[in-house]
Amino acid sequence: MKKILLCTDGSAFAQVGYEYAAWWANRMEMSIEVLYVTDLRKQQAVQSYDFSGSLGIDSYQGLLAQLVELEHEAAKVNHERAKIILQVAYQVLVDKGVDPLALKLTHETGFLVDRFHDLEQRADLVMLGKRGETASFAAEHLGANMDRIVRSSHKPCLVTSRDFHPIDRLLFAYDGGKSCQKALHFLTNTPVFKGLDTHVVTVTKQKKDGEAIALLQAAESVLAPHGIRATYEVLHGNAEEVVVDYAETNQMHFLVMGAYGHSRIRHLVIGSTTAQVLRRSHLPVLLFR
Amino acid sequence: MAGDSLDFITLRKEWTSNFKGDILAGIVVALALIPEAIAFSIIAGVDPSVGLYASFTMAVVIAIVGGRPGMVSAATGAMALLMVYLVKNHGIEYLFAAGILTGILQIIWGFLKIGHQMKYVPRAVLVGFVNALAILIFMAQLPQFNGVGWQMYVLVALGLAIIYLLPRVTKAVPSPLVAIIVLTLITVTFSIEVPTVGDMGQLPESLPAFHLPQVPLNGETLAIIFPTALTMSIVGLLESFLTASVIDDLTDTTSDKNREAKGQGIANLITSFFGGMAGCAMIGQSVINIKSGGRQRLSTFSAGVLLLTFMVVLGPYVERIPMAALVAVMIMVSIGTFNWGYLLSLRRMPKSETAVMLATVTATIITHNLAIGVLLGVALSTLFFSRKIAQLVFITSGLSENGLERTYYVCGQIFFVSVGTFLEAFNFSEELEFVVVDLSQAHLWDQSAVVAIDKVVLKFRRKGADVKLVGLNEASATLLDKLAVHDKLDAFKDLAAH
Repeated sequence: MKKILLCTDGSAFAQVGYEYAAWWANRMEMSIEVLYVTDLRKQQAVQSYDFSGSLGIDSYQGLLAQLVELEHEAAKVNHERAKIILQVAYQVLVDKGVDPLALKLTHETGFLVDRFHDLEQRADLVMLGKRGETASFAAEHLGANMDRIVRSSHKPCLVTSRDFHPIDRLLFAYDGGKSCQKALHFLTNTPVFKGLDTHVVTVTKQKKDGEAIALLQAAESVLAPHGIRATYEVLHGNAEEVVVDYAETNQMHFLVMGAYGHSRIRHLVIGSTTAQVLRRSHLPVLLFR
Repeated sequence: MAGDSLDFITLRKEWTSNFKGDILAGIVVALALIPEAIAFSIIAGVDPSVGLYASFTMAVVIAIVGGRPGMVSAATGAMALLMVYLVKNHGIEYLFAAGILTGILQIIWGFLKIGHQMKYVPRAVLVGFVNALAILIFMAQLPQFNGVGWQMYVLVALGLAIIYLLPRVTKAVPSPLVAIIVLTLITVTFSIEVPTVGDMGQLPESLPAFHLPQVPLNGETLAIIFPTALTMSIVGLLESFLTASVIDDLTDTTSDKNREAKGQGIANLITSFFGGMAGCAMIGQSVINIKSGGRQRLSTFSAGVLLLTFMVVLGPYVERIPMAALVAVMIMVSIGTFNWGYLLSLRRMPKSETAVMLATVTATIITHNLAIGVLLGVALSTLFFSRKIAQLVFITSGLSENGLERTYYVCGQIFFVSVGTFLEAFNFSEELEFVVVDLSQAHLWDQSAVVAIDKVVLKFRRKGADVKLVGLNEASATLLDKLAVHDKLDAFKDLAAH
């Protein structure tokens, strides 16, 4: 059975992730591993300010006992917190109809970014919230963890938005690049997308429609044999703007794109276009590298 | 140092992730380092400026290249004790030369991965090491009481009282610093005639400058400095590794011992070129650093920079500090370094462990050389261990029903210490036709074991019995095959029979 790795930090954004995970798991058989990572810094932030600079009898044994005690308390609190967050996730997912046997709860301590590499090996799809616990501070920014994970992940990443909406219409921003080929392959292989109103768009800045149309035809030649009938459209302008506008005017529910592509939609690591689209749109975005 | 650690995330984590805590701890450590650096210079017989410069460069360099973030290195007692003879007989330039050689040796030890060899130093020896160090630091303070009046005793007692009692009132200010200020104010206000730091030699007035040791570059110089440099390189690394593992435990993190060895080498090299005495990691200061909230490289770095800043700014005042204040601080350091908990557990410890600890301490105190103490401790531990293992040799035997064949079952480690027990278990006077030696529960370790097996086989053979060895494990069989005589005799006999 294929597996979703659902990253959570207990924040509002992560809660929406549970709903998308449930939607996904209900449409095709997939198990879900819910992951919560206690940030190591939280554990070690314990500080006992003692500037006395004096060394008593058995100074280091005493200090060791004291530090162990402090960190033990902090770790216990963190464990409790992790337990609650994971239990909530479990409850939400089960309430939405996910098979409890297909659920796995994982709690780790460390840095999410460090631990992520090992964990994603066992997954086929990664889901995480666009922003995290500290989202309310900077509304239009992307979560730091999200950014790093999307950059380093080798698996498709679904970055979930602020609100959940059942998915009826899907928009695929196609640029013919390698990551978009992967996305194409994924669309044809994943029954989740069967029967959705699918739109495939490509963006061109100048009026070179010929190339763009050729791209779309290539995409169609892959999708059509799998019974995916889609609306194909060439958009003009800045990719990040026109893609988001198109999604809004046509009331799309879901966006699929390459994390970095080869023509308009590309930049260094996670393309600047991708970052812009993530920032501007209020849709869940499925990213491919 | 290590190329793999030069990535930005690691750098940021190791330097700025604990900014506030590190800077605050750096201040506390810098203030605590000043009296220690002066005191250790006095032990070594050099100007206080030599120890202070050393503490500055050691701390700053090790912060960058060391393998254990948050550990404080500076001029230390363990190293100072080793250089006394060299300084007294050959002068300070030879000390700088020896420091350079120490650094080079430590870098070599680092590349030879000496960090992995720490496992050969058992806990009893490490405890002996710190206890001997504490006692030596304490003893080094005693000459300060010679030829001075009763005022000295009163001042030291007052200093200790402040150091130990003030933290019960407030932990916001370093109590040793308060003790130093109070004692200085008392002696200056009441014009009490006691020796001061200024009497002990020159204090730094400027930044340390690059300086090549003024020694002839020849074999004679090498012969003078090499023994000191060699012991300093070992003792410095021992104390550094020991401190690193204390910090590892305290912070629940790991350190790179081999990188630390190279780092100590680089730090000593640079220190010696800038007119400082060789040093190493300091247990007491590192613990103070952690206790004050320091965790990362920035804490050590700021301690070094602040130490020199304080010295240059406060120089004129520092020389007024009475030696009594310094002595009080050093007594605190020695008490804090000593492992008192171990004394309480002595009754529960195996006698051999206690003997190893005491031997390490005694040998160190007699020779003033921690390397000799550790060497003796390791040797004794090895001896005791091999004796214990040798006691675990059990041999039983059984006679066959017809009374012609006896099987000996050997269990345990057969090596040079245990061969005596092994041989005693065989009864060679018994009249037998066959003897089977079952070695499936035994292991042969060395030449002595093989010789013992040979002896058994040949002796039984002379009595007319045929001997069979069974159940040898592969390593033992290989050893036997290479070294044994009895089977080669067989081969010889076979040849002769043809």
